[in-house]
Amino acid sequence: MSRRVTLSASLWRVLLVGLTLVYAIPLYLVVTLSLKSDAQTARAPFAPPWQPYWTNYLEAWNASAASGNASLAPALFNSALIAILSVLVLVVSGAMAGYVLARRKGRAVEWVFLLFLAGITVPQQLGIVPLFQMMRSFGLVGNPLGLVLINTGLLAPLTIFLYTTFIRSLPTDFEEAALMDGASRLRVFWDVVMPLVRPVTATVIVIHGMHVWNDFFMPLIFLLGSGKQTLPVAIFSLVGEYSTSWGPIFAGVVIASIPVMTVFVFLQRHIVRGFSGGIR
Amino acid sequence: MPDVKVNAGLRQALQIPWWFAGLALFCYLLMLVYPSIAGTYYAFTDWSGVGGFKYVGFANFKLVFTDGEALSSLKNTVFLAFTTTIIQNIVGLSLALALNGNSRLKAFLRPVFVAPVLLAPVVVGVIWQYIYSPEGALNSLLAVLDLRDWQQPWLGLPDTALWMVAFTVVWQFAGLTMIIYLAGLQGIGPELYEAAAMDGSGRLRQFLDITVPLLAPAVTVNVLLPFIGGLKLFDQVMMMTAGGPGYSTQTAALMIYRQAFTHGAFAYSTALAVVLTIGVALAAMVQLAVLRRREHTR
Repeated sequence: MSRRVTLSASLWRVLLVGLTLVYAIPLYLVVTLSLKSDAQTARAPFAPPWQPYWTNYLEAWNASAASGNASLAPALFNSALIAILSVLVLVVSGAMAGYVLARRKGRAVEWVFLLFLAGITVPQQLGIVPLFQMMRSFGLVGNPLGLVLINTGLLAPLTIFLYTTFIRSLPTDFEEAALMDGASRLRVFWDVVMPLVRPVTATVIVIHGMHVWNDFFMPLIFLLGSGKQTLPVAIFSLVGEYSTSWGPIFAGVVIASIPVMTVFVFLQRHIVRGFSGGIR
Repeated sequence: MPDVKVNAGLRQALQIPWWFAGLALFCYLLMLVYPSIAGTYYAFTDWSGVGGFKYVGFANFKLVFTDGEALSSLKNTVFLAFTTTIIQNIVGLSLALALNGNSRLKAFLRPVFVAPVLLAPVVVGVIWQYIYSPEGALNSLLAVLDLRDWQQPWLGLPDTALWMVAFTVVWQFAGLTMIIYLAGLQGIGPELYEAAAMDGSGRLRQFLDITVPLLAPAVTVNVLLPFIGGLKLFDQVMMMTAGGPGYSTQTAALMIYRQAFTHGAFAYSTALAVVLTIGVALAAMVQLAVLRRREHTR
């Protein structure tokens, strides 16, 4: 009996060590390869970068000013701009819509709620061609603001679902008290409801912020070659330009990943809770 | 009765005006609802993006189910959805069981398994593109282990490329599956296991009788999310293989993109997108129904 237990325990240990290596080695390679020249990488891919080769970072940062395509400095700015604005607009518009759907009574409310829910599973590919045509006629292709509008529309269903269900579970006492004191509905929403829905807002910021930051499909279609591209598209162009010169490519990968990783280190608990929110 | 009057007034005041939902509704209708409906409509025409077009019935759909490229893309998509969902659940559940109850180990290793979840799929694609490349880490490792016979251009062979893509997706998202299983495991009180142990149940019995049924809600999420995500795979494939060699790793989402933005076959592209949408909707409905029923009967 006890031998069987120790046997299965050591099997678990072997499995865990194996999986840890499968995860740790690629992460180790990203960082070390970004600091090695191509010759060093070819000679000893797993060796640490004894003499850090910082040129990779310089190259990725200003990459190919000639083509103006792959350089990461403007991409970092565009990614941040699009992510911050998208999340901001999503939180405000989503919470306000969720507030209506949670508090208003009547059949129309149920229909609108269902209309939003229907959008959760629709793949972005279904409307991509008409969307592209429409955005081009608005002159919003190659414009980061166009992408903010797209993100707001595409991510509205999940946002509104989260806010509506949460607000429905809240008692109306605080809002009623504030309304009796003569506060306007907008003021009540902003000063009473917004603080109460903070857990949802945190989830929305984490999930959508990450989604927008890492998104590739939409920025590829709407920003490629415009000089306004985001980091994932810039990395994609970088690979096209440097093909198998992995040093600058991985330097770009590190630059693109530092912001998310930094946020993760500080907000690990919230992020993990946001991820597992699906079943709680 | 002044109270009733106040309450009626309050109920009136809580009828929040519709304009509160204006911005969200506007963006949603304009960016998702209208394009989706228009796209579905174009799937039944011969629209090429310029000039006039006419209704062609199901011609585009007939093409989808006879065109070799489309058929292999659909096959690859279904293959990826199934393999990634299954393997991801095996890995994620194993990790969760291994880390559950060992808080120091969990604190130390959880970030390692969660880190890939946070990376952009494109970034994960580049990392593995390098590892699989002829001069990459995998072949170097095989050389170190004196297994040179096993060396291959992993992404260059139709037989291995699709598996390599599947593995990359699993590597990225198994940590998410693990987190969701860990959250499910934490909801199971230790007293249940203690009671079962007192009744003389072995480890395996306890796992089957307590852990599995109580983990059902986590299973629902962990099957639904990767499967639907698998049907929509685009980023990693576009990055690593661009669908090649040949069409051996092309997914439905990639073909939709290609047909529209490389070949200008707008109508055909939207017909493919309609097929993908129906697939996603069916998968979601079937899985929700099956998994929910199981949750209730257990």
